[in-house]
Amino acid sequence: MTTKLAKTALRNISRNKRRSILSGTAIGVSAMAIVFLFSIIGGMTEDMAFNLKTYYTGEVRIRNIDYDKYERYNPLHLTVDWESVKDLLVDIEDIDKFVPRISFPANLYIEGSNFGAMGVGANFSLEAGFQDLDGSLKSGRLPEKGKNEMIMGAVLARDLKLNIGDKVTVMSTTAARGTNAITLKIVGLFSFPVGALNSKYFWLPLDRAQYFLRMNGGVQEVLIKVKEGVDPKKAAASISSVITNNTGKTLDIRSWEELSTSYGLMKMADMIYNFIAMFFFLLGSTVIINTTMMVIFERMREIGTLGAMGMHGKELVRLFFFEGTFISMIGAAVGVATGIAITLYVGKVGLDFTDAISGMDFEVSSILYPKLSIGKTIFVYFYSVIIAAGATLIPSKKAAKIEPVEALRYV
Amino acid sequence: MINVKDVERNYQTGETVVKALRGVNLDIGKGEFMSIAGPSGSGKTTLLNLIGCIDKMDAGEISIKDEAVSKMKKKEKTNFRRKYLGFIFQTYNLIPVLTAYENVAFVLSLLNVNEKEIELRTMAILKEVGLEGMEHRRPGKLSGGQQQRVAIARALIKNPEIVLADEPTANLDSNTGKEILELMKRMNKKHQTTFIFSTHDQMVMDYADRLVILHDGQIVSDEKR
Repeated sequence: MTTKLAKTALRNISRNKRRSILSGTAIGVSAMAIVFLFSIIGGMTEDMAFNLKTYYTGEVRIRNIDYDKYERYNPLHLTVDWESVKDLLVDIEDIDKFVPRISFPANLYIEGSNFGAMGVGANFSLEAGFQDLDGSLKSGRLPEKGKNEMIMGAVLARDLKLNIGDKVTVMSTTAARGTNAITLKIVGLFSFPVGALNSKYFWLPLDRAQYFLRMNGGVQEVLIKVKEGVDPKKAAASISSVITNNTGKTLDIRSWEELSTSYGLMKMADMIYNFIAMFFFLLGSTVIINTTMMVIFERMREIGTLGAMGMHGKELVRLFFFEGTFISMIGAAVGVATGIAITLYVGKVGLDFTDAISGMDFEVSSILYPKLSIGKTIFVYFYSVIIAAGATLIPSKKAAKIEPVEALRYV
Repeated sequence: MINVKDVERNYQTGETVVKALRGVNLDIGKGEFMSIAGPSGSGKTTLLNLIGCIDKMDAGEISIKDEAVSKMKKKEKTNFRRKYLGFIFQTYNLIPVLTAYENVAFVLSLLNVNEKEIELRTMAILKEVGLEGMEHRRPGKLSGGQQQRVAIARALIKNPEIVLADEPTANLDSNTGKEILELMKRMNKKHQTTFIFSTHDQMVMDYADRLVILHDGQIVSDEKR
């Protein structure tokens, strides 16, 4: 019987093609939008993870135990002893790469005016293995160790009307809480994927930063990348015990997921979008509910006839439920396929958010590439079909309650 | 086989109560070919619907095959109709997306008959009603007379005890109507199926072996021929 009902339901879809197309389109558009939305969130999450690991925290970050507590005061005196730590890190098997960094707020003194910026002292030879520095360098070259040179974010340079070869005096508070200044020559312009890094930052050799900031060979932080398959959280714990056992000092060693609040928010957003998806599908389902109601009124006599022939209410529910399910299945399939096609295209060309997020300190790249997740896409398909098909139960149950005599009288 | 006792049926139209049936009593035996006639609003369709277990009465009792159908619950009534009753409608009421074959076979599917038997029985009944070779046509591709033949085949496929036909010839020209009546008469004789019609068509009345005339919800004449 179920097969017969399914067959009849499938044929019923073609009775009013325009209406079936309308219902299917509502589900399809919802499915397409959600596939694309999930792809954007997926792309954004992956992009943020990459940026955090590469530019902000590494997969594991080592800092002085008190640094975060006093971070708002720029406590450069709370350092990590780079020389002793690096020797220990080399021997830890879980670690793939590590780099020392010093980030500090600075004023750039240009023609009598001060402009706020962020400086980063880095070991460029180690950084080359940690990130694609050559790829990020738009023009010029990297600064050389021991030389008063810097590379500057291309957007910052443009805003300040600076170019390669120009000299800039940088002022900042030192680890000794005094004020110091250093004049650096711009030798290159960089463009990282994250807009904020390009519009606020300049990078200089680590040794010059240590000298300028009076850090006595210390560094503000060490960023670590672990080997593939190693859990950063577990790695952080083992690094911590190695350092404590060997130096007797306790450092603040945490994984990137523990450190980033925005990544946690992004993960939460991913969950929230599941509810938004449900809302979209319910909205799309209202069209199916509406058209099924219309279909029921149109086929009232038929319902009466089937009832008179001995068809039970449950079987009538199944008949209309199958119709709604088939329309949803077709609509969702077309919608998901369109969503995949759009995602694949946009995933190639990218979505340019440069203007939208300029000035925002957000660890997401200016150009976003949606990332298609097979699992999520399959989930969207079944999710949309289940919600839309479920929605057809509402009018279908109404059809089941109609008395045959009433239905046969219906004009 | 069918016993209608003191049956009353009222309809509420706004504040007015219309008495469609006022204490109708009727006994119908197995294999009768009977017509219920009367002017519009006399209560003939209401009586047919009550015997067909698709309407509820306000008073009285109807029993079919010694079962008090008037006391049955909705589900029981549906099962009863499924097993014992066949319906023929004035407007044929075929399912437009199904072929003639499928419209007829659908009834047996409801009874969970196996596919092989469905095919044998459906083909046989379609041949019997003169629709051989038209099995794969959908209702839209059949004439009115042919559609009513499909409806008759659909009503008879499960070998019901009773077939209820509401104005079966009203939408047909007189020649086709005559053919349909002859077909039903033949089926009545062959299968001993009880046929009950509601009609105001004189030709249908003439074909009936028994004519019951209703007027204002009461039987005014019951004539066996």
